Amino acid sequence: MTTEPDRRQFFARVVKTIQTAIAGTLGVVLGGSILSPSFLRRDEHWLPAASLSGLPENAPTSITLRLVREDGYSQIVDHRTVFLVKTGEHVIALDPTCTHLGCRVRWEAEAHELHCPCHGGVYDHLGMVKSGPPPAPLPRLATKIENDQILVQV
Amino acid sequence: MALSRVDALLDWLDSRTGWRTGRRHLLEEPIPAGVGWWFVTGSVLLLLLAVQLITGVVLAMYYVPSPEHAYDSIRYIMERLTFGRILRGLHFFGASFIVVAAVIHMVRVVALGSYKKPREVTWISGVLLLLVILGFALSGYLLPWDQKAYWATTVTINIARSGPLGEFIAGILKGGSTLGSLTLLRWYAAHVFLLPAALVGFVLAHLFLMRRHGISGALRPVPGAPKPFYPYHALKDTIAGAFVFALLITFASVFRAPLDSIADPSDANYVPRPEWYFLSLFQLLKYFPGPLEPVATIVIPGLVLGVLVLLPFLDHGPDRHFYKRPLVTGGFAIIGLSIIVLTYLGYKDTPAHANPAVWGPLPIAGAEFAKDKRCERCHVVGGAANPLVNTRLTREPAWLIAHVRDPEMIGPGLREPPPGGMNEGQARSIASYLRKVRIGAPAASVSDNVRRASIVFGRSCASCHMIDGEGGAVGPDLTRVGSRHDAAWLRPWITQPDAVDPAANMPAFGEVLNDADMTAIVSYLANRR
Repeated sequence: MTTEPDRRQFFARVVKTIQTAIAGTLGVVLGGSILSPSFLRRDEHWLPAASLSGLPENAPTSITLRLVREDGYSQIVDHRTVFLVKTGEHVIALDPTCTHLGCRVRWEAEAHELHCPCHGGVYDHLGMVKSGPPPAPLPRLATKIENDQILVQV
Repeated sequence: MALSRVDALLDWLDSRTGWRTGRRHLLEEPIPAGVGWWFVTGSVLLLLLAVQLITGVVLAMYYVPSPEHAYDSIRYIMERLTFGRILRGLHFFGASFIVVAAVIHMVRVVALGSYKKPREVTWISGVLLLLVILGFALSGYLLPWDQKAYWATTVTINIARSGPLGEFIAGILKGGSTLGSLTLLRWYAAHVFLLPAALVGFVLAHLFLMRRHGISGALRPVPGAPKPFYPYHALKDTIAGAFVFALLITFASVFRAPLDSIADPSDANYVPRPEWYFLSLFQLLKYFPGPLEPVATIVIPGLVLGVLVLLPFLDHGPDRHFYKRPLVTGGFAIIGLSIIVLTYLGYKDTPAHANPAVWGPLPIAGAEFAKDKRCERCHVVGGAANPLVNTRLTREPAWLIAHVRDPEMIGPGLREPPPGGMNEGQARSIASYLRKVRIGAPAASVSDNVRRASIVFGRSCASCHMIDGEGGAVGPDLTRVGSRHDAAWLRPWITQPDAVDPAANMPAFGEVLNDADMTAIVSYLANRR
């Protein structure tokens, strides 16, 4: 025989279950909408950067790439600077963002080093850490060469 | 061990805040016997308002209240966010659900005489809540900044102009000399700050008053002891709420919340219509033209509102049964029926708008012309200008047409323009194509014949002729040319017009079009009936 406390407990359980289902459904929709842009992968493009024959050997050359990028609802023109370093037939593209705290490094031709102006980080011409606080070498971007044209993936 | 710590924390919190007493007070309200399913309407409305508030907050994370970006931000929500389409659907359809739920709740309160002494102020707070809800609905549909938003708001502001102090009120609504960014910003501010604050305030007042006087309950006392609200009546509320929520999320998932073309203040052809819940007022206006307009905009709505607010004082007798209040029941039936009939008539009279996602010949041709190597010299990834497939068109059509005809004008002397421009028809075609790109209309899938005919139309006909509202206005509109002329007439006419009619002004295209192009355009035009 069902007693009143049993009925009450059962009703309360049904109410809680249904309310949880409503909140859960709403939570999935809201959660997806709130979180998805934070975890979207950026589209990657191969952009022409320079001609291989025109680059000096073993000296980072600063190149600014123009890229139209989605920025949420809007499109922005992103100007990204990379250092291209030619070593023989190979080219590496260095992201000039210091791995310490994100300042932009500069090429000091006389010292043949890349210097970070913020906290004195020093990298060699291939982006390897020589001294100072940077915890890792400068990040590299993928490159490929097509008909003497260097393409950089950004 | 962990549980006892949680209990200890909750005990401490209770000792400082008294939350358990508050919770008991909220949940254990004694509900008299005989309170049935009719009394779930308020809870359902409350649930819908909560959903609207929460989805509104998340939409506000992405929406941008500016004429330049509002439309793009809504497109972003619908196309790029995971579940973004459902999110906007919940908010868009939720508005209609709320209007329906509010009316049902009001009808229930009127039918069971729940507004009577001592609940007069509860009723008035409910009427004010209804006005706030309608304010939300009105301010909400300007926000996407599409054609419907722009033109329906233009009409709303002009309606405001018809009453006393009309220019003053219209000026406040508009915020500037024209309907534009200042208007959008103040309607946005009203929609997300002012009205939500009013809503929360009135809902709290309404609930407080409801608790103060208790639920009005069944018409006649039903024997039996009162039971606590939770879980007995809460179960009915929850089941009804779940049913309505399931319906809402089904709507939001199955149907796409509409988004018209981007607002175009220069478009003289757009016929604005409000959302369905204002259609009755819109229809009413038609019966009071000219100087009588204030009757429809102010007098009748004002009278209805006045009767609503004063209802508990006009009908102050003790009888609650609707049989015993024929005046109120009859009056409400007449008002309700009038609103339904006017809404129906307004709906029947709503013109079918061209679906912005449908591609006519001009954008189809434009998509082909835009593949031209001359465009791709600059419009490529990493190039001087954006690739055309994802260009957000912000220039006016005249600029764009001039640019396509003479690309040097974009920056004389800065870089070498591609050799040769395009003709005006091609320029119009590319402008039309870029408008489709801007509104995110998925690319049209058409037969080779239609594509060929569209290219011919764009290149050779669109400078003078129009189809589906796009093209030149020098020659006749060819949208339904097939209903006037068949292929046997069209071919010789296009080949050599003055051979058919010596007075013809149209140039001959017999030498310009090859046989395949001629066959394609003749067959295409003959089929446009």
